[in-house]
Amino acid sequence: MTDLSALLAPGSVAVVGASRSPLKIGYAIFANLQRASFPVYPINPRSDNIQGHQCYPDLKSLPEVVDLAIIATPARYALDPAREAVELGVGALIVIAGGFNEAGPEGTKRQAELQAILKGSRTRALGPNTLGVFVPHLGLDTMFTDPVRSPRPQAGEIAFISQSGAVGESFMNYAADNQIGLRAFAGLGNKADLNEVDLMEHFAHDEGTRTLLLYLEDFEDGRRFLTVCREASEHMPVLVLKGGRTDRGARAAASHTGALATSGKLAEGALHQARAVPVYDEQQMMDAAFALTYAEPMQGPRVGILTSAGGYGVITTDLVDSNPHLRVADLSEETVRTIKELLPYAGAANPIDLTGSATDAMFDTAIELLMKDEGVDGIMAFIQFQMPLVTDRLFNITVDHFDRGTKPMVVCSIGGGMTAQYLARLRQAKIPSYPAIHRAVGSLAALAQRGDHLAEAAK
Amino acid sequence: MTGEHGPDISTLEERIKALQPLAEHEVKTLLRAHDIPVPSGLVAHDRKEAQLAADNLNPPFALKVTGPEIFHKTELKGVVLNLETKSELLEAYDEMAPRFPDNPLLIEEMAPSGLELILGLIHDPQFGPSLMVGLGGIFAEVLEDVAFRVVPVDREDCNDMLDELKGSKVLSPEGFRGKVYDREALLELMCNIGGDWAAKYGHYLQSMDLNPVFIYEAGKGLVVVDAKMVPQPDFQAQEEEADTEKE
Repeated sequence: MTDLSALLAPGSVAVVGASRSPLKIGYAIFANLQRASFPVYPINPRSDNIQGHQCYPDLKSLPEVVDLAIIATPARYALDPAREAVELGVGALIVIAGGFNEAGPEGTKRQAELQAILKGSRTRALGPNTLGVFVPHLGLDTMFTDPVRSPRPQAGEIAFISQSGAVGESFMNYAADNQIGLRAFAGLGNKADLNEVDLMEHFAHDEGTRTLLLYLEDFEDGRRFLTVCREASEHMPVLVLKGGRTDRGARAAASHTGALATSGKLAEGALHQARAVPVYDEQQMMDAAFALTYAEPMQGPRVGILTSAGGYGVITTDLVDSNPHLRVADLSEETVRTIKELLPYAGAANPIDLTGSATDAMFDTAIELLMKDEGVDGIMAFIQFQMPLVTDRLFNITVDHFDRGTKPMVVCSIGGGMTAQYLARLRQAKIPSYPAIHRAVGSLAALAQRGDHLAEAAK
Repeated sequence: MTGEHGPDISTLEERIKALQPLAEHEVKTLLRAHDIPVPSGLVAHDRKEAQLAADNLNPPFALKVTGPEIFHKTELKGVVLNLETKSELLEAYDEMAPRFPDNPLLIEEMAPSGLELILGLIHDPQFGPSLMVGLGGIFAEVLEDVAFRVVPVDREDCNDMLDELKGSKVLSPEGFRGKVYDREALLELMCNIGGDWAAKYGHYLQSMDLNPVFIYEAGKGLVVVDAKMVPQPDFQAQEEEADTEKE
């Protein structure tokens, strides 16, 4: 396994091409590293001082050999510092600039030169053509985007490996606004050296990572991907969004990252063998990542559905019943009888419909019954906080059941501004909660697939 | 079972490794050697051999042109099916043989029709040899109802593949509308092609198509009706890659 601690947990960092000009990416990268828990050195032969820090002309003038050198220069100036870093024995490089394999014959030649420089050395490189890495608990932020316009998420347990910078960036913005914490982000860029399998292997063995997410447009080494992904999934759920499933999508991927085409069906089969949970768009990826990180896997496909709105109960039932990974649970006689006794107006079969006269206590009882029912593997609670007899106490009741419960529960709530606030509070309490039924059901399906993978691994 | 008087297995294997294409009857000889059912058949290079085939095989017969370079025999009018009698067969032979002076003709017993499936190996640029299965005929083409796994596959992979098909109910162990197909035989075929077969030959093939495979009711097995193998064109590059991996 490749040791990536120099890249992801460096003791010291240099920014080659750090700049005083806010128009240069070397300015933003150096500025964004000011929250770091380790020394960060600016390097620029034309400056003595950058943002109040003593500036050095080159890597060899530094008081120490750094673990990580971020090369923030334009592509045409990137190779000399890369060579210097390799000669000094710098542990890792991040080459930020575009202008390599994605940029015509000249770029291809430049990437080959970079690879030749790295060959046989102990220096490993991420990129080129990458946002680099973001490791919030260490204050390691090599991204050149403005944190005000592009908010960073808090420290957490999800590691995200992305072949697209923008997909990573927007995921992080969304995570920041949705109480999703990140262990680390790594942008693969052109994969001149390190690829998805190297990074996946690292996070699979990282104690602080609970969930692994990948956005990929191709597989650098499909066979090794299968082996490593399968191993990783013994320790944590692995979610994969594979771009370029369709013929046209594959063509778009080829022009984006030079990705080789694999039929979407074949990639799907391979992901199944790799015991990865496949997702198909950015929202599914975020939704499923939240559920898989904070809820337990489903031990089987059977969903108990609870609602206070008949119509939404019907829609939920349709979506569960038509999902290949889920089934509508047959509730036990005891559950049905107890519901009938306690709540004479309610629909007692699955879905349990508490109707418009639902109260906090009715939700409390019904969730309790579904938690106890042995025919139920997971719960979908459709809660309308705006119902007349429901109070704010239902929030704590829900959190309490989720935390104490022996099976996973997701919440769906549809309404206006007040509903949005409740959803945000529920997510803060780490309950997978969604403003759309298909999203909640999709997350349950991810939990069911994860349960399957664990069962297969245990065989 | 009626044997084959084609080249022996080791010659065929050498030709695969030399990336040479095989004729249909040669692929079938190889399949038979791997315990995979194919129709009983004989190759006729001349009228005497055609007569011999007619005497030794049971009607109805199929007559097909065969050769390593023959890939679209239907388009070449090189296939006649459902020949009910010896004389019909010989008449068809006399018509077809002069049109293919450089090729022998394959005479086979017609397999009773069953549920049509396709099974194949394809060489994916990123994952290498991979197994494909699907419901045959229009289902494969119109519905693209196929499933893939990277080889080697195990029984569980094969079961998963069948369960993934949109038409999976037709092949379910419980059957559908009273008809239960021989899923067991299909799983065996899939494990064989996606196992030993792929391990031996997968590396040298761009693709292999068993299309159609007829599957019969439970206990009655299946038969590979047509088979085609296409050698890997950019094999050299892969050899080098494999060598680098070993380093």
